[in-house]
Order: sequence, then C-alpha cells, then structure tokens
Amino acid sequence: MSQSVLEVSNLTKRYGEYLAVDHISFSIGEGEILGLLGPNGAGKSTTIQMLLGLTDADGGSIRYFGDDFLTHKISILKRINFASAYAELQQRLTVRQNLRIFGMFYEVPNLEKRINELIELFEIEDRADELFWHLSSGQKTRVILAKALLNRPQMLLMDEPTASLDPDIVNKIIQLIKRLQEQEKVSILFTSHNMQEVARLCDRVAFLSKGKIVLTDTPLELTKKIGKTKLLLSFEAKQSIVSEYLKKAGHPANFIRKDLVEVTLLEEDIPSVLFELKKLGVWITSLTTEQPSLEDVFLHISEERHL
Amino acid sequence: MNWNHIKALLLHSWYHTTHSKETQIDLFWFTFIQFLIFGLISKVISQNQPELGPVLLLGFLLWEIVRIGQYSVTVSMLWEIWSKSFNSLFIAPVTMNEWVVSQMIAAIIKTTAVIGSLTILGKLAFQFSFLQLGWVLLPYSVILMCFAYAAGLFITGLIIRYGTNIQSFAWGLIYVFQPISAVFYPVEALPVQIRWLSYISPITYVMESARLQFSTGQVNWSYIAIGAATCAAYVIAAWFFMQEMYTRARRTGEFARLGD
Repeated sequence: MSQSVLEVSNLTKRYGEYLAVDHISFSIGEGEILGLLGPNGAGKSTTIQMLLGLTDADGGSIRYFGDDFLTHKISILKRINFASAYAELQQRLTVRQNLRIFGMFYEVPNLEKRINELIELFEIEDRADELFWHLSSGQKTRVILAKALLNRPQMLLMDEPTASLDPDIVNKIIQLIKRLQEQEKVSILFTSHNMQEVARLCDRVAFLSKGKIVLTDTPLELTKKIGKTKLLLSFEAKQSIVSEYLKKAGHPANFIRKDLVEVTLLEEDIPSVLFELKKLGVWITSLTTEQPSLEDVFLHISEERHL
Repeated sequence: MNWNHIKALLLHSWYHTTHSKETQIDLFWFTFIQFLIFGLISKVISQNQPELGPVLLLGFLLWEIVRIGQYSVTVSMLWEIWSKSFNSLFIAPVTMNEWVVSQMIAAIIKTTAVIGSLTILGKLAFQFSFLQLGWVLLPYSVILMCFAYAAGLFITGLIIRYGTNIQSFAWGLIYVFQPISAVFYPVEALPVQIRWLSYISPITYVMESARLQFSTGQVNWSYIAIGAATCAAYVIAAWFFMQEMYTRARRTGEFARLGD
C-alpha cells in the first residue's frame, strides 16, 4: 500500500457530555480496504457522518488525497462516494432518473452510457424505469451501489453495503469490491456486521469501542492475538479427572456430554493439554479444533469493554 | 455556485413534480378549486357592489404568489427528508446554497405556471383581468416572491434544526401573515391597536398599492419602495437564520439524522 488516500487524525465528536468519537486516528492507503468494526454505539456512524461532511467534527482533521476535507470539501466529494444498505434515493424518481441526477452532480462524462453500464452490472435493467419506492430493499441496495460507482470514485465509504441482499448477489458484490480494489486501486472504508465478509475483504481492521480505536491489525493477526481455539475432545475417563485438570490449568470448559468437552484455549496450549491429560490416564478417542474467527475477536473486545 | 448542479437540481424538481400526485394536488388542484370558489363568491358580491368582486380575486392571486413560492422552497426539502434521500443528496458535491437557489428558481417556474393558468381562467370564467395591473405586476410579483423566499428560508432553517417535528409550518406558518397583510380588505379594516402589525409585512404595501391601482389607476410608488426595502430585510434575516440553523444542525448531528 502506498500513499494515504484518507488520513484521519485525532478526530473527535462530542454530543453534550457524551464523547461519541474520542481522538481517533487512522489512515487508508491507495487500494486498501479498511474494516471499521464495533458494536452498536461504538461511534462508527458518527465517524462516517464526519467523513462524509454531514456532521462537523469538534476536533482533529480529515484529509483526503492529501487535502484538508474542510477546505476542499466539494472537490473531494467529487472523488469519493458512499454506499449503504440503509441509504435511500428520492422515492418519487425512477431508478434511471435518480442515477441521472447524481451523475449530473458528479459531472460524469458520457453519463447515459455510464448509467447503462451500471444498470447492467447490478442486473436492474427491468427495474430501471420504475419509481425507486416500488423496489424491494435488495433492489434499492443495488441501485445505491450503482450510484456509489457513478463517478468512478477513488475512495468508497461502505456502511453495511450487502445487508438485505441475497447470498448470490452478496457474492457478486464482494467480487466486485475486490475487483475495484485490485484493478482500479479504489480505497475502501468498510463496515459490516458480517465478520466473514470483513475477513474476506479487508486488508486491515480497526475496532472501535466507546468512541476509541482499541485495536488495528490484519484480520489474521487479530485472530491470532486475541481469538482462542475451540478444542472438542471426546475421551474415556472419569469426567471429574478431566474437569479438575482443565479448571486447574485455567482453560474454560463446557461438558457437552460426560465424555465430550469443549475447551477454549490458545492454539499453542493444545499439545500440553493433550500431554497432561494422557499423563492422567485419559484416553482421547477423538479430537477436533475450531480456529478463532474475527467474530470471536469482536465478541472478546465487546465483552472486555463491558458492552 | 455550480450551474451544472443547479441544472441537475431543477431537473430533479421537474421529475419529482411530474411523479408526485401530492405536489400536483397541493400546487394546482387546491389552488384551482379555491380560485373557482373565490370567483363565484366575487360574482355574487359584484351584483351589489361591482368594485368588490375583482378586489377579492386580485387579493387571492397576489396571495397565491406568496403561498406557492414559499411552499415550493420549503416542501421540496421535506420531500427529501420523507424519502430518506436527504443524506444521499448532501454527500454528493452539492452545497446547501445551490439547493436553496435551485428551489427558488423552481418556485418561480411553478408559481408562474399556476398563476398564469389562473389568469387565463379568471379572464375566461369571471371576466377578471389580472394583467390590468400592467408591467407594475412585475415589481409586485418580485416583492411577493422575495417574501415567499424569506418565509421559505426561515421555515427551511427550522426544519433543518428541528426536523419533521415542525413540518406543518411548511403549510401553515405563512398564514400568520394573511390576516395582517390587507390581502382581502384594507388596513383600515383592522382594529386600530393592531394596524401597526400590517406595516411590518411587505405584502401589505403590495396589496394596498395594487388595490389602489385597480380602482383609480394610480400606483403608490412609495409603498412599492417600502415593500421592497422591508422585503429585502426579511430575505437577509431569513438567509442568515437558515445558515445559522444549518451550521448548528451540523454541529449537533441533527443534520445527519434528518436522513434517518
């Protein structure tokens, strides 16, 4: 990743006594996808609103393409765009009319051709001349995505862009996002509650909690650092022997049956646990492991921050 | 101010008006029905007092310039809020000033279309000639339209700051001025104690001068000048008020929440 397309420094937003965003800093390089994750109320929406210029920050700075957002707002807005499953366009305009209006705002060259390309890309040809309010939520999301690509943005902010879409369309959208990243070097700020999607798409993930960024790393490193492996053991021995050992060793255990236990532990501790159980005369009859996921990291951070 | 953005916003307004039955009914249907009612009442009144009927229709048409102008500026903002498209619009490279100017232009077009049609209807159905005012109709209309802008900007500012809680002001607030603005009767008809209120409304000066012109052919130029000056003060004050509400709503986060 090369130069920063978006650089956020000490961004702060306070609503009365409530500190919604607390001196956060992060940057996104060219062609990089950064996942912004966090539980409800963590400050994601306020951050995005400030990044889009809808809400004024109380402190800190936002720079796109090296330029200050406050002083170059309109020229920057022409080069970025936003998509969200919760965004809407004017309900009393048709899909094509909405796209035409936004295309005129962005001064898109060969606008009608671009509109047709996007209508085809998002498979909404048969709905193109329907009023926006006649569309299903999934169709609306596809139109919003088409709107977001109208100006061939260099930076895209995507707030749960695939919520409400069918799995086959989600897959296509994810492939499209990957293609935008790889071929057109589009930088993306991505939020989602679907951790699989985040793990699949994002180069880095920033966890936001109570207005602060508490962790930033690649999805893989985060799961390694924080996530714990689930070890499922079936055994032949007295349950009390296994239970006492696991308790003593400090590994949380959940007995599904009297001869089947799920142990949560770091991956590197697995050999020693197996060795010690063998020493206690426990005969392991089967063993499966489940690798930690980004979802585990999410839950871990949320619990740790008492949310 | 980017003219391409204003052109896009005008096209947006055209698309919306042609698709929205509510807007068509509010702008055209209600106005036409009310004009017919006023026309018929004026016919009845004219049987005994021929000079009163035309005055009623004159007041109606001049008042409608204010009402339609203000409605167009304000309700277009509400439509974006109701559509939840407000945020999409303002994260595009469009400024609030471009939005306001485009709605002002759209208001002129809509008002001209409605008042123009009623002028023809008035001539055909009630032998009432609105154009009898001649070219002075232009300064009258400019003052009334500017006052409509002032009211529209003020109410838009309130909507930006307080959201749809006060949305009925978009239709109702302007009527505060109707009883005190000598629309259908002269200022002298008001109780002495509240007559001064009439003179804080620029509409009063237009109405009084237009009535005088209708009955005597004379134009009260000093009233036109006072009306224009008062109106300019309202427009400037309303513009600053709206800008202040916009700044405050962006600071408090209310602006972003308008689109939720």
